[in-house]
Amino acid sequence: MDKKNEKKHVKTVIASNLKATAASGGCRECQTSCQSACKTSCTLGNQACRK
Amino acid sequence: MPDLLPVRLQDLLHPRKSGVQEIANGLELQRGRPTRAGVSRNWRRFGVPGARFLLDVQSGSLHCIDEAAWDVIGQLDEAVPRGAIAHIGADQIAEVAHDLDMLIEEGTLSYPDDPDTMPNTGQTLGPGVVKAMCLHVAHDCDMRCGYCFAGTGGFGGGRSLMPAEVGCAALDLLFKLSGGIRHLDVDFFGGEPLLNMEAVRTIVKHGRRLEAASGKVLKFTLTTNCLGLTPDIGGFLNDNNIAAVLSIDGRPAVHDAVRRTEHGGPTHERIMANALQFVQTRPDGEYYVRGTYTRRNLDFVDDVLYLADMGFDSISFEPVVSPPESPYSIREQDLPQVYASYDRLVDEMIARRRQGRGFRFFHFDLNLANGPCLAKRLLGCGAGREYVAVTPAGELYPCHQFVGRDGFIMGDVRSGIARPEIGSEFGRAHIYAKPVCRGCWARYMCSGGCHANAHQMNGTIAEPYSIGCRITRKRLESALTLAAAEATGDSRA
Repeated sequence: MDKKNEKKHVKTVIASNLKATAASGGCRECQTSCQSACKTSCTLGNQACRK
Repeated sequence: MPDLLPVRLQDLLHPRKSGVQEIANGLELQRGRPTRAGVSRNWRRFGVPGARFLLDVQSGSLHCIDEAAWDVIGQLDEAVPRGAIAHIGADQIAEVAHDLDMLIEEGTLSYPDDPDTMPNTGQTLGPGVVKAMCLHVAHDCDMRCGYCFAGTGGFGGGRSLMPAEVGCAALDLLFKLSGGIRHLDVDFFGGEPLLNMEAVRTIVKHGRRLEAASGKVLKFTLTTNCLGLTPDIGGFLNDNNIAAVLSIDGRPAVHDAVRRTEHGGPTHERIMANALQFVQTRPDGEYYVRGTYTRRNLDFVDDVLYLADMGFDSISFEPVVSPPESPYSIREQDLPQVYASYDRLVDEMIARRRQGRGFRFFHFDLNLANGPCLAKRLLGCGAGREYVAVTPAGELYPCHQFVGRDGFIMGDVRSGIARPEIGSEFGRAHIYAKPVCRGCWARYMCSGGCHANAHQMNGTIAEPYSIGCRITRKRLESALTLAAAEATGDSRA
């Protein structure tokens, strides 16, 4: 690796680019479920995109 | 989209220097120094013994950082007192800054003061396109659980069952309202839906006909207390590819203390037998065993592990939502114990996975790399816009928790949505519109939390339920820790 590009103090574990998903405005095919206490709720981050 | 955070022209006209190098080199320079608020809302630094992480909120990327980076970043958000990094040499500080700048260039780290990205959702976030329904097929229940928000089945009204024709009309409306959207979700809920299986069978049959005729994909889920989960019903769920949510609160004493029969008897033994029998018949079928924890079992990690030991490999546990005066409600002073349970759960899950006996915990299954798009994350669950609940009489509500609450009837299954302004109100309750969410590092993962909880606790959907927020943030940190461990194959990442 080019030393200039070497990182010594940080290691990327998961690279994500959420910002890039802003362009589409959403296809709306994603799961729609509930965040409340009685049904198994969704923390939004744990849904996969269905696209 | 006038309600959303405005993009300031100066942000666009005056491109920033990457800045961090400059900042951390001296940490005294004012020019280019990111604000503390910017650092705290866009860079989430968190750690567990032996590992330190940095979540970039805006990109969703997760980084492991060492002690030097931890301290330098801490200095930026002033979490670390000035002078506390004197032990770190200038060379190391410069290296950290270089690393952070590189991440910014790569797009896996946002500059702290970057404004939130504006999703291209069109001009309005008003009423959405309904694509999911919760069918209250039974406003009745064969159990009397202490913390039940549904008034042990009746949702504050009389006990009743949904006629099959109401459920079929609801599906007709769903297919009509969903327009061009292909994936639809329908939940059978109550009360206890198994009390009305005849209607469930008819509704499923009708739904499959609509599915075939339309080319859409209809996913059914049924939530049950398992008391009446016979092999015959289990076979029906399997044959029709219906996902199941099985309510069990864990250890026998914990479960039986709250989840009782109509006559006050214990239920654990029967429920556990039924649930295990059912799960064993669907090795590939989707299910979750889900429990509710209360202030009486803040050590709920032992309930999760108990269920895993019993053989369930898909588990979810959630905090009870009760009025503050309830003996079950989670209070501020309970939070350290709640946090400790999540910490222990992470440890146990890592250990068990390494031993080849891992299990899924719903809230820890973050999909960081391929999660929902930004537009979806603004609005969360979709209640009132994309998701509605249907009562046995056919009334439409924003979600199951709003059923019976004054002022929230949106329409009915026969005439459709008569009050779209309710959906618009939910559309306005997005994370950029709530001050407390705009400054929160968890905003794109929790999407503002549960509207019903917010309304119950604060009387408005515009202000999230704060204890729920604090539990959610802890749960997300736990999930990120586990994700890092998985990604690196290390015991702790």
